[in-house]
Amino acid sequence: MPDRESHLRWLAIAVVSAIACRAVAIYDTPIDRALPFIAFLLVICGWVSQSLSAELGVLLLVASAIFLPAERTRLLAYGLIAATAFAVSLYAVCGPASAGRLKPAPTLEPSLPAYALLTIVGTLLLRWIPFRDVVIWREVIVILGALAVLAALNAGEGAGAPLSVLAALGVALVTPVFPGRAMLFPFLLAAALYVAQALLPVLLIAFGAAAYFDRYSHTPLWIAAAFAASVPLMARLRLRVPAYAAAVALFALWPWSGLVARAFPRFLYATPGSPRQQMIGLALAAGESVSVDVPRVQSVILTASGANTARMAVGRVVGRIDIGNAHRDLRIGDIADFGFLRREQFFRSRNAPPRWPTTDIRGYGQTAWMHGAGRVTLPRSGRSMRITAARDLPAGARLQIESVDFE
Amino acid sequence: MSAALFVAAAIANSFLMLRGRALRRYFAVAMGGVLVFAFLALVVRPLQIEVDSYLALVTLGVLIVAACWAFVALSPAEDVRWSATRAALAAGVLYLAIIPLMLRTPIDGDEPYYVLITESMVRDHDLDLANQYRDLAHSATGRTDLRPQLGDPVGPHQELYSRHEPFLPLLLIPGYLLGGLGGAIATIAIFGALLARSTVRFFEDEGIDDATARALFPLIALGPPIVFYSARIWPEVPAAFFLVEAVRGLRQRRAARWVPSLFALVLLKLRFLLIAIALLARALRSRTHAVIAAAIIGIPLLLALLISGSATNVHALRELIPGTPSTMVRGLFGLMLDGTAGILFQAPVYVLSLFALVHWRSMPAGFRYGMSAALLYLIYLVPRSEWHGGWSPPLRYIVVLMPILALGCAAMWQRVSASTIAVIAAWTIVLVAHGLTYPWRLFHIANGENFVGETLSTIWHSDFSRLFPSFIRVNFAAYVASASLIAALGVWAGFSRPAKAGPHTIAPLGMTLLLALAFIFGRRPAARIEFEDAHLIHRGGELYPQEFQVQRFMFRGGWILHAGDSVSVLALGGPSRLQYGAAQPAILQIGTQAYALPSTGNRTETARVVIARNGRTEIRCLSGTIFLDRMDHE
Repeated sequence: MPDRESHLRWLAIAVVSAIACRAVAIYDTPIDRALPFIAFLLVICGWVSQSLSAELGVLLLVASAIFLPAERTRLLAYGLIAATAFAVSLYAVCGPASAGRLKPAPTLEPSLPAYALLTIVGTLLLRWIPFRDVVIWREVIVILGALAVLAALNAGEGAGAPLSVLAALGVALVTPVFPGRAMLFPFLLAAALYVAQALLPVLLIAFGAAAYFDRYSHTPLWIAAAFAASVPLMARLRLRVPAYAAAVALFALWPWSGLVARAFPRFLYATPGSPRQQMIGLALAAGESVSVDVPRVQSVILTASGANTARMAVGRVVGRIDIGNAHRDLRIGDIADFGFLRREQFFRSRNAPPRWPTTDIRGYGQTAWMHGAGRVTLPRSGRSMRITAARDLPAGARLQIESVDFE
Repeated sequence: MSAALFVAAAIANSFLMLRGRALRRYFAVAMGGVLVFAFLALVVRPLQIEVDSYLALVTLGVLIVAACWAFVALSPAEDVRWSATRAALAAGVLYLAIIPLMLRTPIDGDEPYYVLITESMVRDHDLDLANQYRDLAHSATGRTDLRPQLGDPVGPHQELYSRHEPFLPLLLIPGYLLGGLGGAIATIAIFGALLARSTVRFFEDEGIDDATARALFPLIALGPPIVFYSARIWPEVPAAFFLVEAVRGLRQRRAARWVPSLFALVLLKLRFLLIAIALLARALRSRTHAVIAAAIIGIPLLLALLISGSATNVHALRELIPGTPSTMVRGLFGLMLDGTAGILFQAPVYVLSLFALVHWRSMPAGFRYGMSAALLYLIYLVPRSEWHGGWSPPLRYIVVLMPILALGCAAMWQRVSASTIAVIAAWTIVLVAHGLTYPWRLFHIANGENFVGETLSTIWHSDFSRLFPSFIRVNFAAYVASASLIAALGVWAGFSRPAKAGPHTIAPLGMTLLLALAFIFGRRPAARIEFEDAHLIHRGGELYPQEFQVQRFMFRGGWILHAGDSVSVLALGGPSRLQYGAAQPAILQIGTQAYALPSTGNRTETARVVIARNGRTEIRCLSGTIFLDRMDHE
């Protein structure tokens, strides 16, 4: 067990690390400005686990800030470094005793307090950056909810411990803070897990079915719940390592944790516009239309989104495209409300991410979101294309024609 | 494809070295790493992150190898299949897999000339390269721009010989016949594997325990410089193998081992005669030994005489006069600390051997034996203007000594903290990944900069290269680093019995702090500006001398501006001295001031200029042509 001198040493490491990160974080993104805080969190992980990963992680954070001028490359590097350091710390605390020299003696014994501390650190990393978007009392409730899930999964019983922490973090990631009642989710889940411990396989199936049948904005919650319910099963099947790898991979995207919480895996299908993209920028009210000339090309790709359409269900027709003799309805599912993936809108929305979204990703951390514009590919079968908004669109709703690609 | 082959070889290492629980755990970690990598590969497109996919794949391979050897080092002995032969096989597999990565760019430096000699031996059965130079299009070198090197001997009938000894090309013949250029390089890789085996056996002979050998081995055999020289056509790795076998043979008094090894060492390069002489002097015990010694020394000299007309080949007897103390100090500290060509930055694990030197008497006998034999070689190496190796990967001239230095590292290993080892390992991984991905960057022009300094200078348009000690273009950092090294060695020497370090020291935190401080300081204007450096924004003009000028370090480098060209530089405000050269009078605009500068003929002169304020300043040539060397703030 480390002594007082060791604790003071870690405190000094935390202070020096934060100062060093402050010195090199000269970029103006919220993630870069929070670099001292990130370093501090890593040092806490290092203190808990007594592993070198934290010190090396801080060194790599500083190196990334200096050597990577491209914003998203740098942020992804931060993400991977923090995720790896966290995973190593988690392994050091929760890993098997038989790991021998691969596993140093941690500060805290493998027990609920240690796991709780790591869960808090992970949640802070996932949800508290950018600071300006944090509503403190709501986020504190989320942390308490994650801890409730952790306790319910009986973390501390050996094999399931790291998976329990990952499950708690997963719940923390997806828990909405708007509307307020959505924050009850982790507590309800914890209660269900605690009460129905003997029926976890049934819960797993039920959550899975709910994820399939319920609307998209509730799906992440059901999936997180299913993962939590599957923890004992995964531990028995020795699926720790794939779970670790998946967790590290997703955790590496914490600079865009909101995107992972609300748009995964759909955002992986996002594609950028072509160099021949022609901007349109028109918002069509009900019944309005616009015509676009079509040159001699193989195909036409229309990029469009909705405005004030977040409450429309998937499949609802919002417009029509006429190109030559071909006609195509434009539905929710092809496109979505432009901002439905924002933190404040998501839980109440009935949209789903477009089948082929664009790479318009905005914001950072928990408030990161993907623009709801979708790309619709049409055959070139005419010299012009007419896009018409559906006549039954509500008064404030609009069909936004963003751009047209010719390929 | 070549990167995928490397990844496959990396995974093959694990089957050679691990078993049981360690093997399962390793594969779990490796598969987890691959899953994370695959996921990140999916993520980069929607996030519009531009990543060099080749670099990413090679880095993945390096990390997989590193993970394997971490398990070899840290797993219980029963889970590790450890032996010198297995370690050599594992290293050999990787060296072979690295060859396609190295061939991403044509062979360079002295490499193509060795291949030309091999081709001449195979096709013409002679050493005359005249017809090889005429028919470069059909050469396996892939270099149609080759010309005879400076100082290459010319025969009485205009034969063109190479300055390089023919023994290495002779060794390359079987590989060349089997596989052309790749086969020739594979020969070197085989020597690399032999070197790896001999190094481990050397450790065993000198009482280094298996745990230390397992932990240190990857940093030596799979770290710079050996990993690079094992997949390139240089005599250094074969020479290292022969040297360690010679030392082992001499220590064990087995003539059947040391005689052929020493003979081969000297045949490879005449400069190794300086090491052989020292070893032979200690080996002589009988008249037979004296005869053998005479043969080992005499036969290579005779061969050189027959080929080049001079027993010393392209070397002159005056080179036996030791250099001045100042050049010796510069070269010696350069080999240890230079940012481009020194151990500290290019092969950090060997820094431990420097600390081993100050506890000479407690070091293994083999280390003392080898290092004392190398003394004469080092005395003649360090004062040379080309102490840094010239146009070659780093540390060329001391690769031969790496096994001996490695023994010193092994002797120090148990006294080094885990955190220090982690920092050394991390930097080694970065160097290996970088060198394997960009093999052409292993060759760096001798301008006092290095790839890290240049990268930062290019990103921030500020002189970061000055923060790295340079003994090629001596800077203030060189003095600071030298004093720091002396102080550190002095402190270390003061411990009569250095205590075993605990698991943690300040190494990673110290590096973090150093990096942060370097960043703060590096972004400030420099007192001295070298106009050829990467931090300047050049708009027109050209580098002088041209980038691949032979023996470029002999020139005063700078930038030539013609009328209309300009450079933008981060400078200190106030008076400065500008060193320039101009065949004709030229007019220079600095900020809002114009300076009419007289011609200087063939020399450089100094002009006093004033920079208006701290910050970015543009220097524009308004008329004439001017060579800008450097500018010093007063």
